[in-house]
Amino acid sequence: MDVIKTQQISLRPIEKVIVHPLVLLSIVDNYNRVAKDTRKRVIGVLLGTSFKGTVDVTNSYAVPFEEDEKDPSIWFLDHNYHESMFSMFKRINAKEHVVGWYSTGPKLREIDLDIHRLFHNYVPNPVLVIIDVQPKELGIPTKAYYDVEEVKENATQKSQKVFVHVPSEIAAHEVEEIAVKHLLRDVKDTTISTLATESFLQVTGKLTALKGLDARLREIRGYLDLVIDEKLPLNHEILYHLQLN
Amino acid sequence: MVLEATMICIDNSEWMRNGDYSPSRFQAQADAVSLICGAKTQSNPENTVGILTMAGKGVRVLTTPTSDLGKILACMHGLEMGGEMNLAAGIQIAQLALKHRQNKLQHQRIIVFAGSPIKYEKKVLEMIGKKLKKNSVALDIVDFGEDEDGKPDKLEALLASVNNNDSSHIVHVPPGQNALSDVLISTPVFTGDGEGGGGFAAHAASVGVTNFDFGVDPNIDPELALALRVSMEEERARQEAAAKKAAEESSNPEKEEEVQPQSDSQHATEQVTDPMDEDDALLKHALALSMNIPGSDSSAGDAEMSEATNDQELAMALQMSMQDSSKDQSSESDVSKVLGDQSFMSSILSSLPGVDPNDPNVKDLLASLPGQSESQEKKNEDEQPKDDK
Repeated sequence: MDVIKTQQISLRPIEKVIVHPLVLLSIVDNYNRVAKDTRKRVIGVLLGTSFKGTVDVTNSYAVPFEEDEKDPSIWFLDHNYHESMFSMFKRINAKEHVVGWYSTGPKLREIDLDIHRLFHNYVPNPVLVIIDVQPKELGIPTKAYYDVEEVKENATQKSQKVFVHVPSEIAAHEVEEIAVKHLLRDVKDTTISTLATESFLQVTGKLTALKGLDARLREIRGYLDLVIDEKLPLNHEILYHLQLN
Repeated sequence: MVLEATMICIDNSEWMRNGDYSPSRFQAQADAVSLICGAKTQSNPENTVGILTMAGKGVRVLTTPTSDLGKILACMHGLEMGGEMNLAAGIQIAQLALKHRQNKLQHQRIIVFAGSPIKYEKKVLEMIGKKLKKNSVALDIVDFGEDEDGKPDKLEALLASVNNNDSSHIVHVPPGQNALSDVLISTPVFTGDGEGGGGFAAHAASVGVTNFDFGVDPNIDPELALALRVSMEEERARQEAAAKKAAEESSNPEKEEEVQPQSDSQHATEQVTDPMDEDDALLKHALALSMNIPGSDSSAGDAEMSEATNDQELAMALQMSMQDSSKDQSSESDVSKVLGDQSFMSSILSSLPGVDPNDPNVKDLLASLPGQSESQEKKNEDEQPKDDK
């Protein structure tokens, strides 16, 4: 139960989540060890620091987690394990606090709200990061959320907590970048000559960026079609953003 | 003293506010839980206990299985009542928690306190029971509090579907003067699978009935009590095994009953009778018996022991009988059968160096042992020549 007083004072809403490469690596390793060919997912705790609305996730570890496939409301997360693990990590790096938790999803599930509530005991505003360990689409594999109370239009219903998406990016300290470069050297195909790689990278970079843009445009079109057919409720905020761009 | 991981499911629903158990159902339940935790951890230091609440906002695991009694009792503190009990979810989550226990050798057990009416159908409960049985989880149910029409039936059905080898139990506690914890002490919930809780239960029950098994207070001499309990259990197990092949053999019980009350503490120091170790155990028992014969033969015992010191095995036997250690389990039935046979004993003693069968001390010793049947002698002689030096 580690509630950090400094975080309590500056309880700004989260605006950005930065994920470090070490976190991605350990999550993928965790997934490969535990649930590689199964449909299960792994869950763990994210450690890092939070400063002026930006959450910097620098470290992570897995926790024993079990959920019943047939009955999604049955789940178990060993929080004693988490507490003892966190106290050990604190000794390594005192600056790292619990900032949230991760799941390999690949999508959100119903009980995520309950698990999120559990993490409210440890940090005032936890962040959920969904890591897609087998990404099929372009773009970064992380999706970050935090929860807010949503008051329904008709005030008769109890207010629920809803997940709100927050932009995330992958960034690294300089030392981490060097390490990543070293690792990539083994992964990348060494038959491509260096001259070609430079221009090759630029070209492929532009290509993937264009593909990503194309995918997103299609998504917007699909959404607008659904709204016209009145299959989805009209959401003014989204339309406002679309018109702005 | 079974190595066990236990999850206790507490009912903290609105029905627990009722005062038909003093001071309130919830309080009585809490006392019972703390007693159970204490008993489990005392009976085997490696036992772990975890707690979860079934009502309130939902099933919540307070602690995962741990052997730290302080932590368990601390999280019992400050619990609030409310909501409805979710029995099915509670049991299933307890099962998941047990799946993640640290020591996989521990047996899995769930203890459920069912105080409020059960809104699940029998079918659902039976399905859960079957799943538990498949995962070899034992289930103890404490039925107290609300007395609804179908409740005992549902719980019995659940128990029947879980029960495997009589490892699961159900206790119905009607409201009344007796506290919930007192009633539970005398039940199998406390005493596990028929062993274990004797010493602690005796201690806990010192408020009311003092029920010491062997006339020894576990508080004064816990090692002795432990040794007695262990030897009793081993004896029981052996007796059951012997009873199975008891067709030919007879007159076993006399010898054993005589031996048992005599030398309680020495029994605890004997080794397990493997055929290999029978020699040692034999000698030790002989020495022990010789020590026990009151008064006159105490010097005989000493003389024998000093004669025996040159032999390495006998020296070890000396050591063992001198110590009051309670580590080793005892199983003296075979030994006692053998020793009971006078002629056999004399033949053994004559084969030992340094022991003169015509020694008056030895003769006295032999005289004290009652005769045994022929079949005994035959059987044991077959085993003896194998490992006789």
